[in-house]
Amino acid sequence: MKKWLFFGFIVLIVARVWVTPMYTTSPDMDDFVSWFEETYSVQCEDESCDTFTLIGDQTNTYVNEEGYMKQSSGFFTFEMEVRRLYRSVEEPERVGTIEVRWNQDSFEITEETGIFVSSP
Amino acid sequence: MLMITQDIKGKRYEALIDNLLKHCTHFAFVEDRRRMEIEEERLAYMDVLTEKIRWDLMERTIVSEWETTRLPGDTAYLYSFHMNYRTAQFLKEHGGSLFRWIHPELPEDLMFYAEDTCVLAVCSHESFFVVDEAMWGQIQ
Repeated sequence: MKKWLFFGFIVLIVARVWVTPMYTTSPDMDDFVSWFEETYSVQCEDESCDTFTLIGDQTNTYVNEEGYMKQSSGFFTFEMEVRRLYRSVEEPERVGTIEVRWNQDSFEITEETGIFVSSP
Repeated sequence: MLMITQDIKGKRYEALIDNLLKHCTHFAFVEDRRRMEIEEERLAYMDVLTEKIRWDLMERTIVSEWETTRLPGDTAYLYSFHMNYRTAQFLKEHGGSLFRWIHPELPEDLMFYAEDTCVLAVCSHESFFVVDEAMWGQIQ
């Protein structure tokens, strides 16, 4: 009996350790969009922020032209990478890219170019 | 600054370099350390590549941000050279266009300065550049 109790206890601990990071620290698209809006002062026009306008400059609407979102989860880890290339509809020469990765409990910018570095 | 997504190639590229030679004091390019498999080997490659203009090198610094790009968690080598006839020839002999300055054959992201002011800066791997409006008017 004691043996079964001990075994059950171990199973519970393992399950707890495995499930906790998945449910407490794994981000989703909503988290990315919230982070993106806050970091760059933009107003997203849709759920996945494929379209946005810069707060204070409504003259340009930027559209996500290409990119990817990779997600993978290990036993104790969760990885997420997002890359996006945004181009202005009104002025197609205005472009910018961002590459972001999830680092344990927050998003971390790995590269940004164009409009995200300076607004020409 | 204007943002342009069209490459400048061939004779137009050479004419652009000639024009920049008249107005600029120095230029720079970067070597992204994330793209270096073996850093010592890549730096040795860069020494060979820039052999002809090594006396024009002003400085080589490590940066995480330059005119068109920011790498918050990583760094790149920024090479700055005096702009003169010799370095203009070097720029014409290599690349052949603004966007062809790209890893692994060449360093990336040409930037041209008139004293402290950047007049043209390329983002090679994203295929765009920003240019001073007055300068662009002269080039066109």
